[in-house]
Amino acid sequence: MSKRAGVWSIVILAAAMLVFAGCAQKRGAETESVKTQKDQAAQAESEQQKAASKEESAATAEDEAEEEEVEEYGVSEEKAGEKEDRATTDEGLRDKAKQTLKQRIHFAFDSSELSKEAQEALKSKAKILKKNSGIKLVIEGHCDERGTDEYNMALGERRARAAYEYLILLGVDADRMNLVSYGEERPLVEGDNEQAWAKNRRDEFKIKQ
Amino acid sequence: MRFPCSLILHAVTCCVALMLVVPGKAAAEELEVSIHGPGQQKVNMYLAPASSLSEENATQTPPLAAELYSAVEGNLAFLPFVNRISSEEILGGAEVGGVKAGDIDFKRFAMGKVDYLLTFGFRRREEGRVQAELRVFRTRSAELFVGRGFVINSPKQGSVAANRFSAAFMEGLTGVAGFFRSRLAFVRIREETRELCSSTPQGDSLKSHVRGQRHIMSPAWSWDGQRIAYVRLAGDRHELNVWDEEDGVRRMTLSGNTIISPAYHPDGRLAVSADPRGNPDIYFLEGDKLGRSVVQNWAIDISPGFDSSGRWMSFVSSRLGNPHIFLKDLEKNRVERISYEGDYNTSAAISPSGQYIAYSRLTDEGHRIFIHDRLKDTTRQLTHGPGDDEDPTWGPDEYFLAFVSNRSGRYRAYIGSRHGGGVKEVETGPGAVKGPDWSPELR
Repeated sequence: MSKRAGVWSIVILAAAMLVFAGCAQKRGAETESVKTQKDQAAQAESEQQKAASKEESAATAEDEAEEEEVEEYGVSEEKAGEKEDRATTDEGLRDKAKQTLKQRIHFAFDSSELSKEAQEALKSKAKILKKNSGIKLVIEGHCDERGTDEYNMALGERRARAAYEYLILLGVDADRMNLVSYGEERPLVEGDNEQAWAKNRRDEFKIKQ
Repeated sequence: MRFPCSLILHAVTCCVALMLVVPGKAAAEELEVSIHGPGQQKVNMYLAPASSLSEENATQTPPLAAELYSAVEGNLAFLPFVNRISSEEILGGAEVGGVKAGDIDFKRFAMGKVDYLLTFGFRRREEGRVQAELRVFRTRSAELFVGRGFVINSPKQGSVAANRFSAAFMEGLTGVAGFFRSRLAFVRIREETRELCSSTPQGDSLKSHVRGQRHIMSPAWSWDGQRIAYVRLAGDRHELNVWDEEDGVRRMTLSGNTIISPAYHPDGRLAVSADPRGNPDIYFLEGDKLGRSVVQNWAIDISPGFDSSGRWMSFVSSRLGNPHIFLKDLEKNRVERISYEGDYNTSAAISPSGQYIAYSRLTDEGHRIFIHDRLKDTTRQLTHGPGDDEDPTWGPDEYFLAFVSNRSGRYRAYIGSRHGGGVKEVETGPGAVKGPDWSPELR
């Protein structure tokens, strides 16, 4: 009996060792797998960062537009508390979208040419406008005080129209926009210096719903 | 005529023309004031103090008479070709024995280099009215040059009397008198209030025709002096408005978004810059709607202005990349460029005869008024600041121009001669002044 018991003990021990060895082999495989995934993720993240840094100037406006899209798809079935939280978040997003729509664009002296920054700002506006068909815009063209009144009134028209036509190119319906020139009648800031003039050479965007 | 001066014309009772001596041949040799020549000569003038026409000596000049005298003094000060001589400059004394030729020792004045002597007599009349007689003599020939008599009963009538006398004097000297028979329209800005106003070129008889909170700009007289067109910014729209003393204000909304710089053609049509095709171009109105385009291209085309024949139209266009002055022959449908220097020439204003085109050029020192002479094909700088000199407009005599300048710190109206002398501020009361437009001669 004691001899038979010793044999069984050896068999059980061998089996246990086999099982342990198998587990250990599996754990090692799992660790290697996690390590590979982490490397891939890090590489992807690095590439994303590189891409992000390249388009940093445009990213803010794009992100705001994406956030505006999120606002459009609220969850319909949720608990009262969650709904309240969601409403607060939506309100914040709406404010952000409005800010994007109202963001002024600026021009060089005696020019109605859209700068790169102005074009990016208009792209952001276009995304919001296309997602919110109820919003209408009044585009106001303004000038600094250096020009003469009548020419500035015409130049303000050209500035407002430059934004208007660019938004149409981006797919915004022309019927949703109106333009008006105020020439140099409504300066944003007072001042007889380039800093003030640069601020006053602008398009303003008024939301009409 | 519906113009306010005509109303006052009837109110100035018993206006007696004493005598208007048309200069004879000999006298013409004495008068060499040419406002059309390359320069101008000055005449020396002495203004005798006011004296009573009554038998009894009046020790005090009635206020109405004193105001009339003062208004005449003020008017003469606007004429750069009149050099006023003080009594101290006349050897032997400047006393005059009376207001008529027989009362005056002209030799003293002639020796004192006085070319013209003005006398002013007054008499108190019933019900507070005042009779006033103004005479101008040529001292060398002892001839009456201009004489006018008035009976006035208010300062307003005194102002009208002063303008009539001054017009007769200027007409006698120069052959034209539009300065004293015309008005300036302008926009007056006081805090949030915008007013369409008009006054005499000296700033008298100020009238506020339209007043409101909305922005208004670019007033333009009709050639009969009965209407003023202007642009009003109503909310997010531009309106073309026409003020008429009898009918009030007529408002027109034209196609397009922007309305700029209305101007009357001598035939009565109204031209305006509008953008129905997405670009500011110049159109004539047909009724209350835009008719055919006069100037149309990709660029900004604004500020039309016509000569009195209606053939020539000056305007501003950015067709060359920057704003420049152009002239269109409406008969031959031909456009010629007027300004070549600078890269910001605006506010074109053609003179009534079409010979001169004034405009504003942005220089390193600010905006300055330049004048292009079409006959001589020359351009010269008229004003030198300081500040910005903008929006020139021609007087009907083509001798004077008005413009606005912020040389005093805010925009005010100024008047000067075409030759560049005698610039004076027009007293238009409190507030800034923009967009002056000088009326044609009003009868």
